[in-house]
Amino acid sequence: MCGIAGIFNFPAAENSPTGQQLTAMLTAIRYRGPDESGIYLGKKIGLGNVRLSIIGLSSGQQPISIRDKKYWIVYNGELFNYIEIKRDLEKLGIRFTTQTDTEVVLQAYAQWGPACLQQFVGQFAIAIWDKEKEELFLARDRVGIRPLFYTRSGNQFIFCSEIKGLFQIPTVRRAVNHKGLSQIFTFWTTITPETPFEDVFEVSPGHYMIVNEHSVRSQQYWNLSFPEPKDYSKKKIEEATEGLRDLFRDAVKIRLRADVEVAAYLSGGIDSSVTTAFIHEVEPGVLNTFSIGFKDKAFDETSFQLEAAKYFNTNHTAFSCTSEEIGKYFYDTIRHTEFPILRTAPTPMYMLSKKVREQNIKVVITGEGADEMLAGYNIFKEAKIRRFWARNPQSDIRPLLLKKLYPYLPMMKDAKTSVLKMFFGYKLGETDSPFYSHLLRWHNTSRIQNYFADPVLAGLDGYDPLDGISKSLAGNFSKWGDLAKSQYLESTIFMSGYLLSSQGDRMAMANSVEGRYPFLDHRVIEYAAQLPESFKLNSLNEKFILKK
Amino acid sequence: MKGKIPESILKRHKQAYRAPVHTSFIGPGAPAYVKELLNESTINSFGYFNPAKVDKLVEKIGQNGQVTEMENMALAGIISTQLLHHFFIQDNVFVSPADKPANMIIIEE
Repeated sequence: MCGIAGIFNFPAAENSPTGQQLTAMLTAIRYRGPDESGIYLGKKIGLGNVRLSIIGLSSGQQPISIRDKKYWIVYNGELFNYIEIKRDLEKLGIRFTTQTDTEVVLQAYAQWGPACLQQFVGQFAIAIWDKEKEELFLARDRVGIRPLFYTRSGNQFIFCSEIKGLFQIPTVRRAVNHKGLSQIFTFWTTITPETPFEDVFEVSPGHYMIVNEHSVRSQQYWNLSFPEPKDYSKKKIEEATEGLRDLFRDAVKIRLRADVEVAAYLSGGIDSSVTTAFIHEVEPGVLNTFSIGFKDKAFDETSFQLEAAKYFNTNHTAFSCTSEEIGKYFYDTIRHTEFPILRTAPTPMYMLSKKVREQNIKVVITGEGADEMLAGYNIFKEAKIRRFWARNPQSDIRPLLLKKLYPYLPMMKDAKTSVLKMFFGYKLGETDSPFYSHLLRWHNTSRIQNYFADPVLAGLDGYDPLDGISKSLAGNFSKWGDLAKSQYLESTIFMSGYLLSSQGDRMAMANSVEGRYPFLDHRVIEYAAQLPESFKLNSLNEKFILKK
Repeated sequence: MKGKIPESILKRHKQAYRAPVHTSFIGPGAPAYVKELLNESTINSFGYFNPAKVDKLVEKIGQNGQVTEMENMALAGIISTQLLHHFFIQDNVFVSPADKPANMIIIEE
């Protein structure tokens, strides 16, 4: 796991990228790769990398070149199936000089071009320079686990793993994007490729970009997709469960590939427990696990975490934090999220990765992704209940079902029907809306835009963040089932834009720790997508198949 | 996954991962930077939020009343936006001459 940076010169650029510029960019993100670093400088290109060495410890310093220095790569991430792809390439006569997955990525690109991405099982942000074509290739993994941002400034195309790297180039303008703020104060994140900053964009998840002197082009190579309900898998639940187990086992197995120790997070929930169970099955040795709890008991899950640790007999380290500590570390949190956030939950993750790193652990496996792919979140149940209620809006009984969803919210504990109707009744009848599942959440969140200053509100001039989403929906979205639609919205917006970035990559990499997520193996995602909705949300029983 | 994980975890009510918000920012143990970022002149100078509304929010939370989810979100959103400006627009200090990436190699054409 690493950080990358680079500068591409368009023809009108006056000066070639310099070592000083790349060094400044890399220094700003040096915690992403504290082990070694490197820069490649050509006339029209500069590439840089800071490396957290995990695979091929002694032979992986980047940039790496192949084919008589025709191709150069800087790379952040892991190609978990690099052994299998390397074998395929060797059959084609290709010889390797390092033990790294980085070289496999580069050789695969040289052999197959952008089509290589279809074969990759991994989490990555890639930059490859083709010296002969004078062309830059950028790519990001399917769901956006690893970050990659870019901007254009002064006839240069500048990219980096984090935005602060871009801002080390003095010509890059630094201004907050008010429309981006409006999006964050609605969806909790911006809509890709927007960011909170003007003229700064991200390479969208599941996309690659080609940059040359003629154009800057973005192309999607993968999208979260669901079949129409009539085409869902016809497997019985038992058979489907076996299929999921087999895929998940392999997803865990290839995520244990590393030349350093791999540990795991235990949250006290089903997902991380399942992940830990499979780690034990694949590698029965002693596993180091970590958890974070809260002194404030309303938020604490320590008892479940300790129960899981005892059950799996792991070498467990439990931490707990106070509100005061969260307040203190929130400051550092935002330096790393580079996004405004509407909750403090990333901060304990930052504190946890700090503790993990203090024990010299660089890699942790976690349960992220199960709630999105197997319908674990309350928002899926909420939408289902609202649809049920909308069929009989006068009912005083149906809204009571909503009460069970949020027992941790004080206002819900003793809520009467009239209160529930008022709180959950927003656009109840608009069941044909493509955003029905999320309308209420987005509406409630967007109310905090009332705190914007008058000039900011005036500048937004009626801007509706939902317009941007309508344009970004998958082509056949309208034909999907209700649950599939809400899973898509939750995954492509909240998960990619917030959970995997502000709460995921940025909080772990701030302390040089890499997270790995077997539930986000695209084979698992695609398998889960074709399952009937009742295998995921069965009545109001979430992640049904995971409990079989 | 029956039989693979503890039964109590399999059957437990799902709890969303959350962390305390207002108690982290407002009250006796509140960090000094929060007061600085939320004072009227800083709010005005950064320009994103209405200082009177922010003041009202902070005052309400400080009175130990019941704090709603919306108020918690607003508080975190305002403080984090102020911090964003502080780090990236106002200061942009992430590199000092003493800092360098580790063990660097430079390859020049």
